[in-house]
Amino acid sequence: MNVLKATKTTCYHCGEDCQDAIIWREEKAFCCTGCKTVYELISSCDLETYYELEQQPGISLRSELMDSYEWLEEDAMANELIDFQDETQTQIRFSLPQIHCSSCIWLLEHFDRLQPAVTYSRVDFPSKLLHLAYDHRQVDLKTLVGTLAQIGYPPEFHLQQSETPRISTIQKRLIKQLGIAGFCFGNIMLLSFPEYLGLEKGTYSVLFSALNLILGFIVLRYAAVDYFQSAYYSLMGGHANMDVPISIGILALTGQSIYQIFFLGAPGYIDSLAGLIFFLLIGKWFQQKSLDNISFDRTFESFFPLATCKITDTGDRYIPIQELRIGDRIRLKNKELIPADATLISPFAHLDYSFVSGESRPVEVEKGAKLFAGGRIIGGSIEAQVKKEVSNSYLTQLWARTQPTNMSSIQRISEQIGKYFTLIVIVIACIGLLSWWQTDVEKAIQVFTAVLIIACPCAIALNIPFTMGNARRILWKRGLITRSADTIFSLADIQHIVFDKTGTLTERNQFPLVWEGSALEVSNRSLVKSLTLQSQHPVSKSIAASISDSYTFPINHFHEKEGKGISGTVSGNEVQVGSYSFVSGEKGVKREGTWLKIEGEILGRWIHKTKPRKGIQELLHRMQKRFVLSLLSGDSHADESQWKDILGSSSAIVRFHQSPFDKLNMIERFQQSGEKVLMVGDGLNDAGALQQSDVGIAIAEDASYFAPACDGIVLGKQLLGLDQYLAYARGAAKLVSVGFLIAVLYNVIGLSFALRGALTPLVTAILMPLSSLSLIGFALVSTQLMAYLLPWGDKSH
Amino acid sequence: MTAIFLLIGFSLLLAGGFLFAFFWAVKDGQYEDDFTPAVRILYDKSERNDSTQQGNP
Repeated sequence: MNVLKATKTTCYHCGEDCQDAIIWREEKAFCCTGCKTVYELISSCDLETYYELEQQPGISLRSELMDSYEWLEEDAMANELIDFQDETQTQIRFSLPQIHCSSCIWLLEHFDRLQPAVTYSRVDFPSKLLHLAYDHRQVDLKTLVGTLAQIGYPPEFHLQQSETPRISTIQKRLIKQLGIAGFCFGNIMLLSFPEYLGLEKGTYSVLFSALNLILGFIVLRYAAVDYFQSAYYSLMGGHANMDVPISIGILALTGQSIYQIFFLGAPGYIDSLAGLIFFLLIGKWFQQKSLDNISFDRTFESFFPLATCKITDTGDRYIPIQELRIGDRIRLKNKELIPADATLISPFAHLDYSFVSGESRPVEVEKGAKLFAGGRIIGGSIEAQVKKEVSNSYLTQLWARTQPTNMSSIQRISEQIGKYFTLIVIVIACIGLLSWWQTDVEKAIQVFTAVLIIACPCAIALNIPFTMGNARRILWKRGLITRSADTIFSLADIQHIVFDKTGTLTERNQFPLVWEGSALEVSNRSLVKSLTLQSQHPVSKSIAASISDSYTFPINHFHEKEGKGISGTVSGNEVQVGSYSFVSGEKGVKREGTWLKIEGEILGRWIHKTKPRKGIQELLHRMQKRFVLSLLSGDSHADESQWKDILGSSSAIVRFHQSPFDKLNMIERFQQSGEKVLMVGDGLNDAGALQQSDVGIAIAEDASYFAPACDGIVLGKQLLGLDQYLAYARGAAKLVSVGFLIAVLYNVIGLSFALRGALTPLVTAILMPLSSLSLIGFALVSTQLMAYLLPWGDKSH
Repeated sequence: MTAIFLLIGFSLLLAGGFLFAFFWAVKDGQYEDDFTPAVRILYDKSERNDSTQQGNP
């Protein structure tokens, strides 16, 4: 029907396909007026370099819901956000999750061209932060934030922003420890050189040993202290974690070295000690190094506005939503979220509950109706009376209900190993001690410590951090961002996958209205567009937006019957759009869809239908063999049969009309029957299910905006690789087991040397770093190799 | 042979100096953002003048 769509045009600003209407300006195509406006703003400020650094770097404004920032005028609220202020300037940090490329950095660091009052702007890319300093006498915070939102970077505000400790303080400590351990390790090796070369002992050897000892103590005191602390606390708690055998090994190594240096005049194992701690710290750093500062723990507070407009006797005032009390009257404007359950006072309101229920169709309610927190107002501003406080509202209780997650699997594994490992090692050491005791007491003690040293689980301790650390990095590059290495273990065990429908299996921005009836001519399309443009009703607006190649005509006798439909005369033709009873005139007859009548003839209807994501059918088909698949949707049954077909009839459970609590309960039921459940969803209505499931993966359409609390985030297009991610996770878990086997093998070899009393310093010096290094090498190479060998699906994106 | 005591002293002093330089860098926040500075350095500083000349003759 549409020839224009044959050639794909992408937006010059944001790079998305121009689906509806193409807007041209200066021979550049834009997908919406929002993108065009941003382009005009940017080019008028000499900032065109933005488009030269990266191809189509902009952020699509089509789906972006512009928040209102009027509450920033309230000084008390604004002061919460400001870092520093004096007479001439204000410093502030904005969290801008949309930052995604070098063009973003360039544009934001040239922010002074858009707002001359800005004196300093610096982007912190990994943290997605913008540091700004501006002259508050020239521009106020609200205008500043408005400009940021206008160019596509609306800041994300959290009340807890100022309170959350920076992740970097933990990171800094580790980096410092690494520095100390590296420094000492290098110098100790240097001072041990005469020993390695087997040179004759001279006066210097006493000095070297003394220096080694000092450096060794520095390592113990500053770099290894965390291991001792962790081991101590876990022993006090009555169980042994992985740090216990490590600490025992370190202490045995230290004790043996001191004994050798002071009583035998030998050099000891200080170099091995420092090297061991250095490698352990590298492993820790490798695992902890945050891929990016994506927050996985968003609560409802991250989704709700910080403030809302309260109607008081003295006029409207913005107050923090926590201060809302039952009975307060609030005013909500177009596109604002309802902060707490409330009753409508205005005559009627249009609401978008897609966050709460997943139902993408806007609903209309009348005066006295109950409004649920999380709904979004569409259309004009409304008044409402608060019925429940924010923390007691329907949606926010999802968070109150969910239990904190169980102990992580890594902790469990390492605790198991720690427990048995320590026990076995001590038993073996005692056997060695007793069997040598009769023949040679001195040798017996030497064997005892040698066993403790050589059996130190450093190789085992390095296995998980390096394998999973690298696996996380590889998955991240392929599009799945995981919360921790733990998530990958859990992913490997998944048996049952539960999907949400709207926004997960269907595209969120996909235009949801489908025309049913005889094909509309250009002339008729123009009539419809002209009429529907007049109304603010969301359905009317959607219809208008769906018609691109048409003309607009002036309208006479425009009439809108609230909640029923619209009518008018367009260039002599009488056009009606609305519910079936409105169009047909038959009272009380209900038929689904929005109907069209032109000149007395009913031509057809638009119905609400969401299309599955491209390629999702193939993905689900591929996964049917291995997993149980289910669909839980908050939407109505409209296309139930279609989804049953797509999921395959086998054992799939397809449920519609699911409230957020139903979803959570279903997941719980699956888990009670012993299944490991992966939930894939988006939006607030899945928040409970995402938390309850063993692994919750949230879909984010762009730059992880609006991802609820979860274990992993995947960008919409990358969802098609889900089976590959799972396959990779299973592979990575297997590699961890292989790594364990190798480490055990090393230990067996080492122990056989130690028990025979044949453990010369040379053997230890070679065996210990060799086992660690070879295991690190194995972890890195094998995970990388597996990534190459996996057929990463069709990379059609 | 006594020279070696002196040399060892110097070498430790030098290495210690580097260690403190490293601490200073960590404290200064150089390890917090290890990406943006690398991008920033590639931007032309003078482009504003060029483009205004081209844009408004």
